[in-house]
Parts: sequence; C-alpha cells; structure tokens
Amino acid sequence: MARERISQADEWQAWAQRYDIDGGIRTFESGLTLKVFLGALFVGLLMMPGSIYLSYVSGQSGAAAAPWVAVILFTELARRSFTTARRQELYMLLGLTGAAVGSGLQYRGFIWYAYFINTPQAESYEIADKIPFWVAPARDSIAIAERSLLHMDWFWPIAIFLIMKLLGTIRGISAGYILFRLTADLERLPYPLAPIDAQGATALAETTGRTETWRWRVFSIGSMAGLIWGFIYVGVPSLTGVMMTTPIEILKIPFIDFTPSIEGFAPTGVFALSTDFGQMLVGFVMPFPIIISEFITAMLSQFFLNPQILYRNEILHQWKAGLDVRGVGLFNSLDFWLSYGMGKSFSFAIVGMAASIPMLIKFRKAQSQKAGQRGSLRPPPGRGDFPIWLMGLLWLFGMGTFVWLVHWMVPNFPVTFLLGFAFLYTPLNSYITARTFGILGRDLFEIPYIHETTFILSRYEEIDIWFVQLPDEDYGRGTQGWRVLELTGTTFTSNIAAQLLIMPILLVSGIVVYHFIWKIAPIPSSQYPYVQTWWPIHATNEALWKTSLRDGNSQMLQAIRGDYVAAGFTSNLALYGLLWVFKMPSMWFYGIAGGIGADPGMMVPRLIGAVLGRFYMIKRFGLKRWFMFNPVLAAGFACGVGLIGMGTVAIALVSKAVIVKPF
Amino acid sequence: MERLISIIIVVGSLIWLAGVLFFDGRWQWQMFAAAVIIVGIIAAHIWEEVYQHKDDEE
Repeated sequence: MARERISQADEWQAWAQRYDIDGGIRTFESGLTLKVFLGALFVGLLMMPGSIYLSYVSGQSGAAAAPWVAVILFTELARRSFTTARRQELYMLLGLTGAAVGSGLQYRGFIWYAYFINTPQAESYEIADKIPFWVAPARDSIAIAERSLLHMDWFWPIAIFLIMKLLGTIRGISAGYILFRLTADLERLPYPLAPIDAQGATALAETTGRTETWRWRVFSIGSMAGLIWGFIYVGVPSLTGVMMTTPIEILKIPFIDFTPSIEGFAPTGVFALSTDFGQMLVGFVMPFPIIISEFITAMLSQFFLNPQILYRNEILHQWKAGLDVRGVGLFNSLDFWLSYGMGKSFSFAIVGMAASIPMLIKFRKAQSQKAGQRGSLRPPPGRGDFPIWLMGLLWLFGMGTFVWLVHWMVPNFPVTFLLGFAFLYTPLNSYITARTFGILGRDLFEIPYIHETTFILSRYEEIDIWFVQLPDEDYGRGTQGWRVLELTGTTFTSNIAAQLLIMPILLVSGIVVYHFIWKIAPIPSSQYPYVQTWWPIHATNEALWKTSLRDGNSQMLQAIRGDYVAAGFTSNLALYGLLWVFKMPSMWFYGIAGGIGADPGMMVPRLIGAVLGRFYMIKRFGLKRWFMFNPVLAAGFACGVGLIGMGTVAIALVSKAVIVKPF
Repeated sequence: MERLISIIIVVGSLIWLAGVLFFDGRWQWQMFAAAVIIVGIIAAHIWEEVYQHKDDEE
C-alpha cells in the first residue's frame, strides 16, 4: 500500500492536537489580584535558591516545579476556603512564579566570568586581562577573591545588566505584541502548541471545584516519584557535601563514563551514561520517532562511523588511548565534528526556509477564504489591547537606546552592522519566526554563526565584541505567550502590569540570593559536581571561540575545514530530501540529524521513557488519557525534585551561617 | 511532478556520494550536490502545497 504524503505543517499540528483538550474561551478578565501577586512572590522567592543550587549540582534547575507548587498551594487554599480559583488567576500565578524562581539564574553569567577570568585557559589564550570591565571585575579583584556580588567592583557589570534588562523588556513586550496582532489577529494562524500551555491553568482551575479530579492524583504520584528521585540524586550528595569534604554520590553525577571501556573495539567512540533519570519524563512527552531515530543514529555514529570510518581514514587523528569522554569529545570536535556541525546548522536553516515559503502561500490563501471572524486588526472587545503605533514607538525607543549602548561598549565596532542587525535583520527574522510558530509551534528560520560571520566581515579583531549582546533578536517565539493569554481569557493589560510590578523586586532579590549561594562554596568545587565536571571544558571552548579571529590563524580557524562543513551541509540536505522522496515523516529527519555525532549514553534515560510510554503506558491507560496525564505527571515530578533542592540548599545555607567557636 | 522532484533529489544525493567516494570529498563537488538538492527540496515544498490545494478542491 502506498504511503500517504503529509505536509510538515499538518504532521506537527496533528501531534500538537493530542494535547489540545480545550478550545479556549473568548471572555476576558484580569488575572492580577493581590493574593496572586503575593502567592507568586512567596513561592518563587522560596524556591529560587533551590533552583540555583540544583543547576550547579545536577545541571537541572528544577525551576519548572515552582509555578506548579504555587498553583497547587493556591488551589488547595481555595478549596479549603470554599471558594474557587479562576483560570486567569492560575495562569497569572504560573507566569509570575516562573519569573520569580527564574530571576536568580539570570545572574549566572557573573559567576561564570568570575570563574573564567582566573582559569588557566583564559591565561594561556591571553584573554584574562582583556575581558571588559562591564563583564566582570579585574581578575585580582577582592570581590572575586571573597566571592561577593555585593561589592562596588561589580557596579558596572550589574548596572549594564539592569539597563539591558529594562530595555529588553520594553522591546520584548512591544515587538511581541505587534507580531501577535499581525499573525494571530490579521492572518489567523492557529498556534497549535498554545493550547498545551493554556491547559495547565485550565486543568488546575477545575480542582477548586467540589469534586476531586484525576489530575490531583496524577500530580501526587509525580511528586512522590520526584521526591524519591530527588533525594537519591540531589539530596544525598548535597547533604553529605555539607558534612564531609567529598560528597557521597549514590549515582555518579552527571554521568558514568564508559568511554575508556569501549576504546578497545571502538576507538574515538564516546559513551557516557547519563544518570539523570528524571529525563525519562521528557521521553514520555517527545515524539517517539524523534527519540528512537536519534538514539539509533548516535549509536551508529559512536560505534561505527567514528571508529571504523573517520578514525581509520585518519580524519579523527588527535585521539589517544585512555582519554575520558570530555577529552575524546574535544579532540573529535576539533578534528571533524565541529565543522560537520556547522554544516548541519546551515542545512537546518535551508530546510526551515524551504518549509516556510509554501506556508506563506498556503495561509495567505486561507486568510482570503475565511475573512470575516477575525482577519482584521480590530481587536476583540475587553482583551486589553494597545494602539499599535504606541507599541511601535516603544520598540523604536528600546532598540535605539540599545544600539547606542552597544556602540558605547564597543566604540570601534562598525555601527552600520549594529543598525543592520537592529532595524533590518531583527524585524525580518522575528516576523518569519512568528509565522512558523503560528503554524508549526517551532522556530524554523535561524541563520547559524551569524555573529562569527559578522565579525569576519567587519574585520574587527578585538575580543570585547564577543562579550557584548548584539541587537539581533527574535521576538517571534514570544507571540505564542500572547495567544495563550487569549486562550485563557486573561487581559493583556493585567499581564503587563504584573510583569512590571514584579520585575524590580526580582532584580534585587535575585542578586542577593546569588551572593549568598556563592558564599557557600567556590563555584565550581566538589559541592557542585555538575559544574565541576563541565565548566573546565566549557572554559576551553570559550577561550577557543573568543580567540578564533584574533590573528587569522587561530586554533579554532584551523579546526574549521571547508570539506567537512560541506559534508555536514550536504549530507543532511540529502537526508531530508530522501526522507521526503520515501514519504517518511519529517520528525525522522530531526531525530536522525540530532543523533549524528551525539553521545548515545546521554539519550538512554529519554529512550527508556519513550519506550515505556509507547509500549506500556499507552496500552495501560489508552492514548488520549496518557497524553493528558503527561504534562501533569511531569509537573508533579519537577515539583518533587524542586522541593528536595529547596530543602538541601536551606540546610547548606544554615550550616554555612553557623560559626563554630574554638571553645 | 512528484517523480521529477524525487529524481532531482536522488540525483543530488548520488552526486554528493560520488564526490565523497571518488573526489576526496572536495567541497566544490559537495556544494554542487547541495545546490541540486536544495532545488529539489524547495520544489517539493511548493508542490506539496499545490498538490494539497488541488486535493481540497476535488
């Protein structure tokens, strides 16, 4: 029987519809109330230290848990007070708590550069003394030696960060809103993934009714599983780290390295088994074809392609016996996979552009056929809309000031490139992304290595340009958030008011919390196994990149080879084309391309989750019910792990605050 | 039309394979193959939409 051809847009929309159990509503109410604001602040700030701590211990911040903890507390209080919580309130609570708990992690760059500036890599590549004053204090600063963020030496980095943050918020809100009006109101794109986001608040709003629903039970099961797993994976090492010099790890964090064990039969192959089995829940949610094809391709890459083809033909030539996964990975990357990966990124860009062109044609036709309901720029009543011209002016102000600030930071970099990025590339890029999000729920259009290309074209060789945020932005993703607000019936004005009210509190509290966490122990150190494993290799990569254009003959430039870039580019295009010829779903392409050259050991937890979901859970619960359970189960699990993280960071902070007297 | 597009993509893929196996993977050959495949992919996407519109009309 001939296979039926399905377009990429239809394929992804069909997948997204599994999660769409609610068609949305069309009456709008404010979600911002005092109890929502205080509740979000309370839970967010309570869990923020835990999320920062977790991100250094295990690489997962667990920040996703906080909004759900807030909503569960809120709904339980509502039930016990014989009142109900509105879905607008719950959606607002989710957003505000998420912002509150994530507010600490936005300062992680400061800690990274405080570490990087004193690494041997920064020293040997001669960039330690060239890091600009607006990135980090000088390497011999007392603020770094004492691990203190509340010090005058941090004035410029923090001041620049705060100004950038404010300008970024203005640009994000204004440009996101304009694009939403164009794509959702005027063009009526469906935004297939927005109902999934809207579902969480809708689901939990139900629980404030008198009858208990399945959601509460599923959430509890997830939470208990998260608590047990969090205790084993995060709790034990963190608590023993407080008491002992070397923490006890029941499961080694973040992986168990089998690379030296396989070098006998697969030299240059890597296999590091990820011990983060919380990733199984990602496997439950992600499309099965992507997970399975990714894993098979990664296995073939490490056990056949690397040792039998690339190593034998001396393409991977720097490998030596006895290296661990980081060493083999670095040499393989410099020998081949870095160049191949660049080509692969370019092929993704071409594929994305090719898929976007017909979407433009198709949806413009659909618009002309169905004009009437919406299809105009006149907004629905009561939604809390703004004049588009006002938003346009705000964006111009935000972007203009941003460009001026960047010019002040890197005065010798040609300003025409900055203006081109700001006023040509950004609007075009954002509009295309908004459209692909509206149709597929994904970002297809991305030009890879655009910064590096710009630096080469500008012939600018100073290192400071690598540290500055360039005005090439993409507001397309943000349009989905506006659509979710619409689906939950939350007024736009209440959302913006909430964001602006909570922002100053979070900016201050985030930096204070980070200061105290840095005081617990040096980052990286044995207290933080994840960053202790990965940061040195990240420092090497960062040093390589930042010096890549310095003298036209850097180690990085030598590693980039045209024939390998072309191989990555063309092989992936051929793969995409051949899958189309054989009428295979496009998901296979993203799976296979993602698996080429990757470490299969890192995918094992996700694979187990996918197999378990597909061959047990779906049979046990039925397809529809299982896909309804998934997001709630994942939220419960994240909540359990987050609570463990919060508990352990509290104990660590208390133990460091206690001063033992010698008598 | 579908068959023509399929042939373009398959030919492009074969050119790439030949470039890697017999011409030392020279980037010029590979990029030529890429150009052929890109033509095929863009044509495929445009044809897909036309094909579906015809189907809808029927």
